[in-house]
Amino acid sequence: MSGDIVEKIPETVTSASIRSALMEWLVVHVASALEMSEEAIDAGRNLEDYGLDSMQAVGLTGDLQSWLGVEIPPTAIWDHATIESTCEFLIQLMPAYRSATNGAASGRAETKRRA
Amino acid sequence: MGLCRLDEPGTILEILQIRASDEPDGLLYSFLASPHTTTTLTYGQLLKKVKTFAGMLQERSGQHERAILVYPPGLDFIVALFGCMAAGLVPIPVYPRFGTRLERSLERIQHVATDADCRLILTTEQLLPEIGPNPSVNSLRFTCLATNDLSEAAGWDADLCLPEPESLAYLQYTSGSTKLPRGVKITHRNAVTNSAALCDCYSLDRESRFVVWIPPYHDMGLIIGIFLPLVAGFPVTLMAPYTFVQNPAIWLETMSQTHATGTVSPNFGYELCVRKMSDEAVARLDLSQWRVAMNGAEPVSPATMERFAGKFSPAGFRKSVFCPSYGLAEATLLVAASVGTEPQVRAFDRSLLESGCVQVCAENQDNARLLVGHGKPGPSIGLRIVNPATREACPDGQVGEIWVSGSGVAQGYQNKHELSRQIFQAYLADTGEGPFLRTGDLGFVLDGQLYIAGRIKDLIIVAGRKHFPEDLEQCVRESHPAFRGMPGAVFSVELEGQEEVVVLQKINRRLTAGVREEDLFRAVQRALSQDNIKADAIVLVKAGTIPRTTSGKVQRHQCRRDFLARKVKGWAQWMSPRFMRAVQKSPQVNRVLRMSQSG
Repeated sequence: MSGDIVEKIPETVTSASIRSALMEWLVVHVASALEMSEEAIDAGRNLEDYGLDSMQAVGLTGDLQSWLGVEIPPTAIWDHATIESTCEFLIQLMPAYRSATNGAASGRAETKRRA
Repeated sequence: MGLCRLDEPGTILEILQIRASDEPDGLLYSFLASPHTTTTLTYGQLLKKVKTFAGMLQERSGQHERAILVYPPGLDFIVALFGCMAAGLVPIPVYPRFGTRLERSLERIQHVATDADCRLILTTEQLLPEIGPNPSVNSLRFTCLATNDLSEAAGWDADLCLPEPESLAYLQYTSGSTKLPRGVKITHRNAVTNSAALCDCYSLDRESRFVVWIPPYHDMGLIIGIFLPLVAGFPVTLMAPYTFVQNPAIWLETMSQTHATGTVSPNFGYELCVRKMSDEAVARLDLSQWRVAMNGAEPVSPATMERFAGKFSPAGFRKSVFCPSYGLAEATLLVAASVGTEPQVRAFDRSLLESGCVQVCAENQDNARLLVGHGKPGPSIGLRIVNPATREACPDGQVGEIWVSGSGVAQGYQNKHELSRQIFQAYLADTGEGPFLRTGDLGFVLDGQLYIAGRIKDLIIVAGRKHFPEDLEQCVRESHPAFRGMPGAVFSVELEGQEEVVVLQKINRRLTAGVREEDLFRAVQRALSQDNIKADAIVLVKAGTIPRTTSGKVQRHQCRRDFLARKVKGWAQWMSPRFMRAVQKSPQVNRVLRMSQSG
């Protein structure tokens, strides 16, 4: 696995846009796993209420990994229970990814972020 | 098969001793902790660790006779398992937590501890700080020991306690729910002879090589992943189930890299690979060494096998590799399996089958039910199809309960004497032949092949775990004030080969003013999720809708029939979109079941 979470989000990189891209991804994929409409998913609601089981939650972290190209703990969604707190957790993970890549890309992202 | 049969080995520990002295450097277990990290144990290393562990236990565990093992999947678990046996303790593996939600695991541990009268918990340094001080654990006055680093400590080195073959090797808590667990008593002889039967049945030898992701707390993971490789003498690569579920490709990639010849999975594992792996990923695989793909623990779907074989044939996978297998913890594991030929798939008239009559029909017939042959009983395993009401053997062409005999049949359930007598000590009424294990599964034999038709008990099996509907109904009832004291029924219906869970629950209308239907549905889902189940259909029913016997027992079969015939009258109902779609796609069910999603 290589790459930077920021690289995958092509818009002007601000924490707000990262958050909204992650939120959107999570809503779309959780809805698809549950076979519900995206509008019916409340990002603040415990995903177990919708019948999401631990296996689906782990499966989604795998899809997240392929999308972001970085390792995500299998427990990430299950432990954080809601889309919102999963999203916060993923954002918390980002500095770690950035320092791990330690290259030009991460420097650029860091600069853009401050701008 | 001479190579994998040792001369009358009585216990798994004797086999370990023999192998460790014959070939101390032979690789036995590899554990894939992450895609880049593998830890390994040779026979020699394992024996050394087991002795150290046993020495530590003998010194520190006091008077305990049993120990609950709370370990994440990995080599520490294996050392603890054998270490307990070597110290003369009976190990009781339980599911550890997944993620940070330890409370569910603790609840189960409490119930298992009470059932097994066990007050010793062995765990890892990482988990100990969470388990030890927990009030619910404290209230049962447990002794908790962390073992992973201790086992490296110098000075401890026990002589192996070599138990009698007939003594208890471990307690297997795979069936039952959290609140009412059932611990199957497995002796050393059970474990060794069933492993040897597996070896013969699937033609495994020292050249075999397995990859297993099934959790070791499950009978299938424990026997196939841990005992079988040791008994047969071949290396195995193990991984945690979440490693596989997060990235299903890793299972087949590991098989490809290690030139594995065999593996095991419930049907959903094969299905997941079909769904999640890209054709590019398939192109990188070499599965031409693969000889044995055991498929068991939940109904085997002909469609899944078809799709899997289609998808992975470019990598050298052949359909004849599939081995639909039937077994249960009460028989240690293996009962019957289809090996070495393409699995037999035949169509049967569904309504005749439900009335107990086996009638082959055309696959495209409206009410055809496709069933997969599970081959013949394994070596030294006896099988009878029995009328569960009369307890007489069924004539050919009739569906009956599957009864099993042989040295794999366990000694009963821990702490449940009457139930054990009923289930493990059954005799044929006409000939007096016995004792047999009553499996509770319905099946029949046709042209020498065992087919599984359903279950007598209303057991619900999700992802290979068995759940008793009484327990689930109780969980649902307690999940909302409007359900309390109201009757309900939880049962499963089969749609497109998948088991779907249906909940009927009566509500107290006086307590639902201002309550949103949605919240009631969610209360049900949340309650079931404690046992890792989700409902695919929920109906909040009107009075008199749940049929009961005169003694007040819920008649789930009748509930199911009513539900399928659209006779259930509800205030509100919810169905998962998957369920809706399956219903629409299935003409047979669609004819009787056209329910609209509630608003």
